[in-house]
Amino acid sequence: MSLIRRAKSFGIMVRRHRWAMLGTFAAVTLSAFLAGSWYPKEYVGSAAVALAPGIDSANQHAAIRSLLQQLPTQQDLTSIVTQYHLNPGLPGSDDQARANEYLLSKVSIEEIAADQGGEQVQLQYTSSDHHQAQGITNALAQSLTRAVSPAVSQPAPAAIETPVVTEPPVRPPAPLVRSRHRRGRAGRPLSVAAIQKKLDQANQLQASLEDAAAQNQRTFADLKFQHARLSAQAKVKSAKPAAPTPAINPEVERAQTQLAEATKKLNDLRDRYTDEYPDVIAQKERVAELQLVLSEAQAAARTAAAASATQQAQHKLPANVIAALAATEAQQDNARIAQQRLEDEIESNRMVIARLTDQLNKAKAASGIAAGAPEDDQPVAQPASAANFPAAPVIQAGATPGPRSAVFVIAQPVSVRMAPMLLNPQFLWPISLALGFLAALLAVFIAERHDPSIKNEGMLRHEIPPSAVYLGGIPRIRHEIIVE
Amino acid sequence: MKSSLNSLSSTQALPGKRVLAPQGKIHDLTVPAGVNASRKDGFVFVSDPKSEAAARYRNILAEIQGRIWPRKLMMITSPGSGEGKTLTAVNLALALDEKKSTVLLVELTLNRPRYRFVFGAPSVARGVEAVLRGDTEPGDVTFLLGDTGVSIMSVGSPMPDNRLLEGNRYVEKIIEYGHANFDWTILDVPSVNESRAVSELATQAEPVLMVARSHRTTVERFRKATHTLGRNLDYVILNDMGL
Repeated sequence: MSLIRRAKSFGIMVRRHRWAMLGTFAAVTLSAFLAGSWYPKEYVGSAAVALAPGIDSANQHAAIRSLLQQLPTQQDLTSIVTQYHLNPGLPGSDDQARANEYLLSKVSIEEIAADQGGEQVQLQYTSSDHHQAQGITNALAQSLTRAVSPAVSQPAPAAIETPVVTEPPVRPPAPLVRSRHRRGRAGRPLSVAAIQKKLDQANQLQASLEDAAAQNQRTFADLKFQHARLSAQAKVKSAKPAAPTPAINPEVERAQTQLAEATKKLNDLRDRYTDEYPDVIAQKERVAELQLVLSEAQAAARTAAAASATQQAQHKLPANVIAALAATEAQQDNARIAQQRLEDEIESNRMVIARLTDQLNKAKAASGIAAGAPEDDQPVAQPASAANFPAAPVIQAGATPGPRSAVFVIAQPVSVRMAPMLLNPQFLWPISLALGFLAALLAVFIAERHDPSIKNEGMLRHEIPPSAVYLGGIPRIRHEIIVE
Repeated sequence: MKSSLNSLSSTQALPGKRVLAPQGKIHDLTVPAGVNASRKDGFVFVSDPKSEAAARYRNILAEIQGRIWPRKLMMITSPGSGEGKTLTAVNLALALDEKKSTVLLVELTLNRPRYRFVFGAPSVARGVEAVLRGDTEPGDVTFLLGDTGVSIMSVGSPMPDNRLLEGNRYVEKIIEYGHANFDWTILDVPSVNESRAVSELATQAEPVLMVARSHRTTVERFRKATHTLGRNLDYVILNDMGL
């Protein structure tokens, strides 16, 4: 009975302060919901990749770890940054590199134990945008699946095809320009925007070149590994054929001399003119041709030397292994040459970037003095983009050491979760309503406490003057009309 | 209290109750056929004479009647509006009627009349305000409440305020009419903060009863009302006491 009376009393109290209760409930509920909606949320995209079937995790573990350290590639990062506009907004290679670094800093790649055993690599990317988190995580996962295995533990097939190595093609000549690029001559100065544009292109090319160089490095490492494996299979104690010694070959010597002269001439031209000057471009082509000739001469010389030096041991080896060893060595040479060429290009492009940066700074300073600098509307030779400059030599045909296959496959597709989870609308509404209800109850108690009215006989007796008499209280009379 | 007062209309009535109209006409206000209406409202002596509230009213009345009041002119007021003056006045009148005393119940809340609605009396053009203006005699606007000994003098047409009460010599006429024809006269006056006439009337009435309401009458307002009435205040009742 007491509980019922208390409940009734509470009900009466709530009824007395119902407006305060309703107002507080509505205000707190709405405020809580709005605060939760506006609170900055983060979206964590996560995906998991696992080792592809057939990959011997035990033997490849170290290689996979090494591979993970190189992923995602700069090219992947640049692509993601560009697609999702993660660049701070200012053009320039420094910002691109910073954006790549910033993106990488927000990516978490770690090996985890899978439920069914084995290992998985979990990717996580956190962003304030749901679409971005999902897209970038997916792109990163895809970049991992594009990684190829350093080697496969497969037996050498009977038929061996000589691997084909793609030669880095000559950079297509830039179209002749009509504007004057000869340094030092009095001509129309380029505008800030034009210089900026050229600088952007150079920076993009630099990123592509660096990426290609990194990939070439990996390929070279793969080839070394393959060669070592083949040598072990052939049970050659030296583990590999003696490194081709630089034979004193007249053709090689002649090619080297011509190449040195051509390179010297190219540097002289670059000191006087910009890279878009026709003579500079032509000299670059000449240098590339000479490099190719030199590489061919060197390869021929090494093949002959290797054949003569290991002829006695080689005759005991299977023909296919011999061919595979030779092919691998040739590919290593090509990879080495390509790497050198890439490094040269990177260095020259770096000089171009430095020169353009200097021009840009000067142009910016000058534009502050003389406004309205004429725009350079002349077409500019586009430097060779990454699309024209292929990646490092790769093995295209399946052969011993076997076909290259993807290391990782998608084990768990991309999922995005909100952080903090309580701000999810499906949780936010009940939480807001609960907070509103609690606040409403609190408002009732506060209103009751601060109610200035007479609540009971005791309070009334305290206020009655001495001349008056308290006759008593009349209980609350119910007002109901019951019609049967 | 408001709901019980406002729920009554001129078409509804207590079963079997009759109202004596002016010129001696009697109306029978009955419940429509086929409807068994059981009403519990603030008039406990009608709806539930055995309730605790009715017992409390009887005790209060006994306490009041324990003292000698020469004029038997009871004034019922309150610190503010909506605190149960009319409910208390009617119940005390019915309690007196239960003791076979004749009672004149005068409604002096000119700006918010309730009695016509409460008792279902037919609306008439004139009421107590006409007496206060000197347009008619008190007897012409007095109704007998059915077969009870309670007579009602109510407001006919609402007035904008209660200033007609202030310094009005016709109030004395009403008091004399009540004293001459009834055992008790109960004045249902406005609240203390509504009219200055209340303190004037308090000097003439005895006893003066102030009604407070739990969780409605503020302490400050009560203090102000007791200060206004001063030594003229005799009794205090607390309405809507908790469970």
